[in-house]
Amino acid sequence: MANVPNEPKGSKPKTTATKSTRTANLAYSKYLKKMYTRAAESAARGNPVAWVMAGAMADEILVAMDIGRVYPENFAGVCAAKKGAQPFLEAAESDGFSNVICGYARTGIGYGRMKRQLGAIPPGTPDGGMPDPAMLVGRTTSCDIGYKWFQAQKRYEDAPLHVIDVVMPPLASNLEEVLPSYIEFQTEELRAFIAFVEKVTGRKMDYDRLNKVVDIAHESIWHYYETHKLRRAIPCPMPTQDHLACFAPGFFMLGEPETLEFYKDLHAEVQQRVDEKVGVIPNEEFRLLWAGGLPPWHNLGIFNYFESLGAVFVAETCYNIWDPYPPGTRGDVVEWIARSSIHHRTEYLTPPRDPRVSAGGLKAGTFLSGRQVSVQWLLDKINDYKVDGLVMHGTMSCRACTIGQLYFKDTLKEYIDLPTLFIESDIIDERNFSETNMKSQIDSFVESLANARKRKQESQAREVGKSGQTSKA
Amino acid sequence: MSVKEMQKGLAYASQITSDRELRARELKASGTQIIGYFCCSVPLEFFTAVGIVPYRILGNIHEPISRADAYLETSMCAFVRSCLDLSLKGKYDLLDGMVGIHACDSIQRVYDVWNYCHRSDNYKYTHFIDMPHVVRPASIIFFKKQLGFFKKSLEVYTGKAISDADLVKAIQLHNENRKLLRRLYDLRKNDPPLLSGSEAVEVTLAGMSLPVQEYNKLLEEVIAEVVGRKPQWPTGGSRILVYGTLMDDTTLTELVESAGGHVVIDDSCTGSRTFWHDVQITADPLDGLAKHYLDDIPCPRTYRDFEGSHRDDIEARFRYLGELAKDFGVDGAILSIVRFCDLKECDAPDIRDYLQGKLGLPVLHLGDAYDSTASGQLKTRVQAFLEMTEMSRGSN
Repeated sequence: MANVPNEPKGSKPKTTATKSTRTANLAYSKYLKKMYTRAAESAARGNPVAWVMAGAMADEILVAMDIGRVYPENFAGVCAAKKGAQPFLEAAESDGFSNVICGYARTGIGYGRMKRQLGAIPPGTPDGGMPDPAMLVGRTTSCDIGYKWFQAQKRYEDAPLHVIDVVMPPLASNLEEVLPSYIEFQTEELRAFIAFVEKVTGRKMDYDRLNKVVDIAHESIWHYYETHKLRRAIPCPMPTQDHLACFAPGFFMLGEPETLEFYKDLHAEVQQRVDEKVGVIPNEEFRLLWAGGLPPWHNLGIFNYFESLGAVFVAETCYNIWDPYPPGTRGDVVEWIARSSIHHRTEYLTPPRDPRVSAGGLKAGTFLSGRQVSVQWLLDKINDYKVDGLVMHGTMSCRACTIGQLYFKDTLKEYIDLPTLFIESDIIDERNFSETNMKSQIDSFVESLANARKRKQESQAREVGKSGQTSKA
Repeated sequence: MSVKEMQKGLAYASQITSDRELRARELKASGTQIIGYFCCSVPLEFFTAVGIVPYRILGNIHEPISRADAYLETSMCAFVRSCLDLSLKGKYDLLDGMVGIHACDSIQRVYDVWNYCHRSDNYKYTHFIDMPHVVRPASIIFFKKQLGFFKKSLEVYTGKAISDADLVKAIQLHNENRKLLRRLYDLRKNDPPLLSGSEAVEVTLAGMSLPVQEYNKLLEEVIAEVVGRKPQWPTGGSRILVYGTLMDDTTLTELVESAGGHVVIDDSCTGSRTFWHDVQITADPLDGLAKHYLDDIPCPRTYRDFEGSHRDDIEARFRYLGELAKDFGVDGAILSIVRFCDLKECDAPDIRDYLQGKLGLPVLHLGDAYDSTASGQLKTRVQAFLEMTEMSRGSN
């Protein structure tokens, strides 16, 4: 039976994660927290603030038009991490929203409901809450909740809603044939969004400014993308819990000069750690891939528990910053954003190279952590980052990022046999979470990693022995 | 003697519903291609235009899900899990291929998994239709292109070109089908309804495994039979609208009927949503098809721009439900939403408020686990709701 360490009596359980890099420690305190205070100040001055869904491709457009932004998905994660989500979940459910729809959505809807009932931001709301929106910006990619949430949110917010249809070609499509229609439609969708913002605010888009914002966004993404490549080093210089802090400026503050500054600092720090061979933990025994699902924001400290057993998360499949689309000769900047979006949404469809993948006759792959991913892409990730084991997090309320995990485990087994751990909880709602049970599962999993390594070493020794005998003969 | 020659009208519809492969097996034996599809957003006219029989993939609430759990997480739409489970147990072995569509997260995501699970079946044809979520001029153009890719894939598969005339003929056949189904539903406006809710479910399901020409003949038989028979039930029972994910089983309608009520109209993706509007015949038939399948079907997966207050938005989105309720003399509504259906669960409070607040109708919101084990508890809730509906009628 697995040995489950006991918490010291009377101690407060740690639920946030200890990070490794100096820059990751600043992601929230120096940058993200500012997003909320800045939005509140902006709203107080009468400047419009948009509530935006991540992945709407609206970031650069909103920055170029000086619209304040908050991202209710992030707000929900902050609430969960600060143990402040529960009243909002209950407020949403008491209005008839199912207790299995997205935990982010229930948090936002419950927050809106309580705010409406009180006529003010509920006291004690983490980070001072979100100011009233001048507009809601939804999106259709990744999950249905990306637009249905805001449609429901309008029960409590008197703000116009615009939904951007963010499209991605299906895995099985002939990209060469279909791409022009995707780029054309995506471009039209972004133009419709600009027209919406112009109508709501009475401002006109300054396209020179938009070009400059896109430059900043592009350079920020490049630095973060290159930082991720550095995590292939042994020992790994930056773990997943750092990524779960560092992705936020890129997702929620893209296009702003501070965000570029943040990623430049992170890139330099991680490079230095690689040069100096500074790892996440002193003895890196096992390298793990956070292979499916979003994290349990309510208990990120679980990542540190893996580390206490010698296992480090060196990569993940969620919230990945994309391969920056080459600026080239940009031309029409709106079309460029559309092309960049399509590029981002097709980059994980790596065509099969492994002959066993292509022999299947299928463009093997499906959705993983909310994006379309080919089996080849995941195999490459496992090999590039020298992964020893996979951890998948199934969540009750986020179908979009949960569906596909079983499929990938089953498919991958045909090509590579890695120990895999499935854990279950939720992104926000911790009512069904048991830290003790999860730690017990982790103990057994780490034992299986050790056993798998031993078997591999024994098998390699036998092979060496055989080849030695053959060469003597 | 073919199965069609053995039975007629309602009896044949019931027989086909209880053994959905009955006629499809005969057709397949005679060389007809049978292609599976999910969701009422797949344009069936294309299949008809090339002589393929579209076969709707459905689940079974009475069959415990035992094999799909190896491939689909339990937090996924229980209906979709049931569909895959049935297929893993051989219920869809007759299919020559399958068509997926980006209707909702679950229907979108099951496509790859389905094909992976059936890789040894060597499907001769698979295709995925990407469908936009918003209704704007650019999205209609985009969807039309997607339908063009679908058409081309069928042409390549069958080796037959699909002409505009072929498509127009298919649209006419399916519009005739829609018209017959609306006429059949009209028979439920009487008190007592001439057709029960359970019979309506069986007749609508029967058509999902038949060529449209055969289904049209069956509908003519059913209408003649129903119009010609004596009233089957006493007058005055509560008249219920069911808003739901789908109605592919008679458990709920039978519960309502056993408590003295009648399900007189539905808004579900196996019922009225599939036939309430005709496809307009346009110079380029793809224009009419794109418009119809994206804009005419009132599924919550489709977003339409709206300027105005939330109250006005609700009115615009659910007015059609109010019209159905009025036309069919509805006394109460049941929201029967399959568990983990995010789309309908997000709309449920707005629909409840609209039906209760605007129309004054009692509403019962049922979380449907897509599982027959809870039918005892369901029976109690339905009975209590009908009593409340009767009291509400009495007080009006």
